[in-house]
Amino acid sequence: MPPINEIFSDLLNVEINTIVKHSMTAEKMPRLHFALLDIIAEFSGVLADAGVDLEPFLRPSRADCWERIQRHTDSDTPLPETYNEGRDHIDEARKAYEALSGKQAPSHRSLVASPDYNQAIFNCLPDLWPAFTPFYIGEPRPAEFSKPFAMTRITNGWDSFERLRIAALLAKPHLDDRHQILLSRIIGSCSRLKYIVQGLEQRCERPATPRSWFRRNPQPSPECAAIADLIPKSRNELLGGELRHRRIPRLLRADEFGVVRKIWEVGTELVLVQTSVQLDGDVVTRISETLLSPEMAETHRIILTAHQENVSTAISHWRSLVEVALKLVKDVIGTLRG
Amino acid sequence: MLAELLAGGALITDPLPASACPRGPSSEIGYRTFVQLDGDICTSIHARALACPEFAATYNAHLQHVQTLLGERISWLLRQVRKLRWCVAFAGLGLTLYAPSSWIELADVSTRIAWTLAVAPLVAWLLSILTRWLVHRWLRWLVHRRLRQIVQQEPITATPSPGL
Repeated sequence: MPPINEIFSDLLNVEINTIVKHSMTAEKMPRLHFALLDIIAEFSGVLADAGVDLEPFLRPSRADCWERIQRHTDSDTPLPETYNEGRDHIDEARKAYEALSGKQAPSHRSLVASPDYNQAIFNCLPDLWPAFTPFYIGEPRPAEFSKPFAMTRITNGWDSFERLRIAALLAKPHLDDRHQILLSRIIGSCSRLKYIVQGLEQRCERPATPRSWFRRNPQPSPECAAIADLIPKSRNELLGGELRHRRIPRLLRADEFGVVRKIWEVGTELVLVQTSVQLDGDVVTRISETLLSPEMAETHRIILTAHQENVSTAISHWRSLVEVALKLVKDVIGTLRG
Repeated sequence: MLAELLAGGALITDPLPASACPRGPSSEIGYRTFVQLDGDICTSIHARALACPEFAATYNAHLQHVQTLLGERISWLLRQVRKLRWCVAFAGLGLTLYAPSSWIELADVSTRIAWTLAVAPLVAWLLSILTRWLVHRWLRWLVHRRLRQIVQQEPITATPSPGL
């Protein structure tokens, strides 16, 4: 069970979104490892529809990206002056690895000299920019038509979100206004998911918690799938393995899971009306320009009325939640005071 | 349910209005509301439902559905909060029993809290039983002594039967 401060940490702000969809089912969010792949597929689809060629971003394997970053870091490799930025990527990753694992990281020289892909250090990289500079992928020019991409090789690892983030960032200046909001949402969501999933993958490097009075058995059961069995994996790898016979552990904290759940739920849908209510009394309502267009004139009032009712429901629910939180605090204080 | 409520939020769905699906029921739904524990609400409306003449009525029914379910969940949360006092007491007791003796130092604040929450009520309960037993024994002893005194003051005399 998550700590109480996590459960009620976001009560200071209430957000109400109203979306109109053209197709909708009652499907619930699947387990985390599949949900991440769903999000990647949706974001990739939107970028491909906007004409972004994803192949140069999705094709290179992790080992290829690692090799490019190593080459970039090696000061002996001649690179144009403009690409000098990011030469300290491996040093940053080494420091992060040492802080995380408490172990000595391989020396910078040995990492750069060795052609072997080092997954532990790769998972500590701050970003993958050096692997996708125009030096490797050329100048990104979104096409007029949708660009196909293969989903079979794409994994649910942190690097997939990083690749999509870089692809969206590079495409943003070349796309028109109607794509800008979606691109901003994809960039923001990918940044958050990259951070969460990278943290998850880094957990494999953390030293095992020793047996203590609080934790009787630090070793997970063999029937329970490990993080490495779930992430980074492609859909085929997940479906082909023996995962269906193993118990899937809860991988994320409640607040992180909430972020993934919300991104999966809203996806790249166009939010027509959004209201944000803060504890200090600030209320911000954003209305999409689409709703104000002449063809939406008839539905404009209906949607605003529906949204208004949604806001009332949300506020009343929020008030009840605050009452529950206050009662919880009062009871805890009462128990401690005897 | 707790895990779903805390981490997953609640998903409430309602079907498309009848006039929006002339070919009969389909897998598509008309309204989908996702509520997170922190109060955030995201409502998706199917475009076909929006275009229906009975949109207002069906949407109100959906809102009613949402409010009922949220009300049930809040009541459930309140019931859990009421149980918290017991949980804290049992957790303190478990902690005290589980912890190795070297870990417990009476000067430590956490031990004091554990003492206050778990051991003190237990000792108080044992003391109350002991006290009740002592008081009971004392009262019995008093009654016996008094009876003995009465018996000694008024010796029983044998009264012959009238038939003898």
